[in-house]
Amino acid sequence: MQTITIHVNGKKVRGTIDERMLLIEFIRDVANLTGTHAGCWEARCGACAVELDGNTVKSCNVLAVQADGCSVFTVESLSQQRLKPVEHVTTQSLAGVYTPLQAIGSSAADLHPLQKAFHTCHALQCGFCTPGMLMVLKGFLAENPSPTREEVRMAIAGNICRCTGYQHIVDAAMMAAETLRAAGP
Amino acid sequence: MTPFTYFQPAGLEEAFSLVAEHGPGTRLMAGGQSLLLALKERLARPPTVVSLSRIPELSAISYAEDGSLEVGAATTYAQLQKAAFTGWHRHISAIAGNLADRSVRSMGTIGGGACQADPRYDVPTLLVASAARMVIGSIDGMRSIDAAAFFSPAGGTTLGPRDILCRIVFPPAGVFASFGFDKFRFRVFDAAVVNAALAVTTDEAGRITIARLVFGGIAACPSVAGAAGARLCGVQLNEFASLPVADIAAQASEEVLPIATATTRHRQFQSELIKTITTGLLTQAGAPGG
Repeated sequence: MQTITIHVNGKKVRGTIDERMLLIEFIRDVANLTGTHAGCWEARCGACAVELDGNTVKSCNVLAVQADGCSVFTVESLSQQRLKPVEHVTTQSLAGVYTPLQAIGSSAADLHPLQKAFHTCHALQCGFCTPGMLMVLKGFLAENPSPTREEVRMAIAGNICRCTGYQHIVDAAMMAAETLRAAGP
Repeated sequence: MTPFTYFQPAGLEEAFSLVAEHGPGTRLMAGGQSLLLALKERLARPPTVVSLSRIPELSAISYAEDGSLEVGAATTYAQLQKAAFTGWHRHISAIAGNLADRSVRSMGTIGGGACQADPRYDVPTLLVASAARMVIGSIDGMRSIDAAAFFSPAGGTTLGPRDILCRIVFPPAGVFASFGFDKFRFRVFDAAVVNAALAVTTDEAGRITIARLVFGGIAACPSVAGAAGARLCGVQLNEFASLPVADIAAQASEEVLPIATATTRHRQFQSELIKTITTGLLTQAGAPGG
């Protein structure tokens, strides 16, 4: 057992953990941030991608002890989290407010340009791969603000999506790139 | 994963003594991208894991006095991809930026790729083709060997249980008149079915003195097509067009993977790929600015 400290989304998280604990387990079970999804556990699907000291990594293939003292940003860092508890969630109640943002008490104004573009372009269906896609694209667009569609496809090569066929994800990345270029320096 | 004791030394000396102290079962971890997969499958059950990622001198890129490029073994592919290299060193960036995927490249290291010694990986082929020197350290001191001697013909490396690969020394940026690398893989993040590199040096008159043609993915260690490479010697780089390129490519293919031994579909495919990739590399080397 080792005691480690990782700064997750700017917050110091300490945990006494087994050396075998993976970073994804630390994020989900110790820091209690379940936005990062664990898909394949073998560095294939990319759903678990997070930013570790400025680089995008697959958190299922990094030991938590490797990240000791580092700073990690997860998908929750992209936009302000204003989750309010939803009372009596039923299929009917969700159907009643079927604007998911409303359901969690957030608003579109809070979203990161990438999230907004994913929303607009319908770049997710089940949403399982989305946290990974967002984190990888965030790093990629910071490095290459005006990518071609081909470059976007190469950037998300390590992220698997079974729903969209990637077309809409590339659309969303292009849209987000445009928004970020307009907003950026 | 089976339980292990984890060490994160902050200096090379400390790492040497940890490895010496904990015996042959100890596994070294740079980025962990291959080791962790093996640990999760319990293909590796080391009692001790020593991380090399916090040792500053292992992840530095520097130049020696003669212009040789010294890359720390724990330098990540992402670092290499972003490095501002000149001359043939730019190919190191390009190779590092075109393997596995973005997130894996942020953790994966060139030394890890070398020590993993998977013949389908691009790093062993790059190292052998460029005749890099491998600087190996242990508690007994430092030594350096040729990349060709680093990879064991039976697979794996010739590293001893107490050894740590510390640095990779690539020849200066101006050494090769031409350098080329190409590979074929099914999906972009897959390991290569066949990869190949061609490194060419010339004398003052522009005649080729050494043409090293190396293939990966064929045997347990990088395969050098010596005879096919020798056919290029003495030729002017700009006279490549007059060479029987297809014939040389076929010879290279026969040399590293004799068609008589290519009894499976996969081997036959590899044999064809060698010809295609070699033809491409030779044509590229002969083109202006290749």
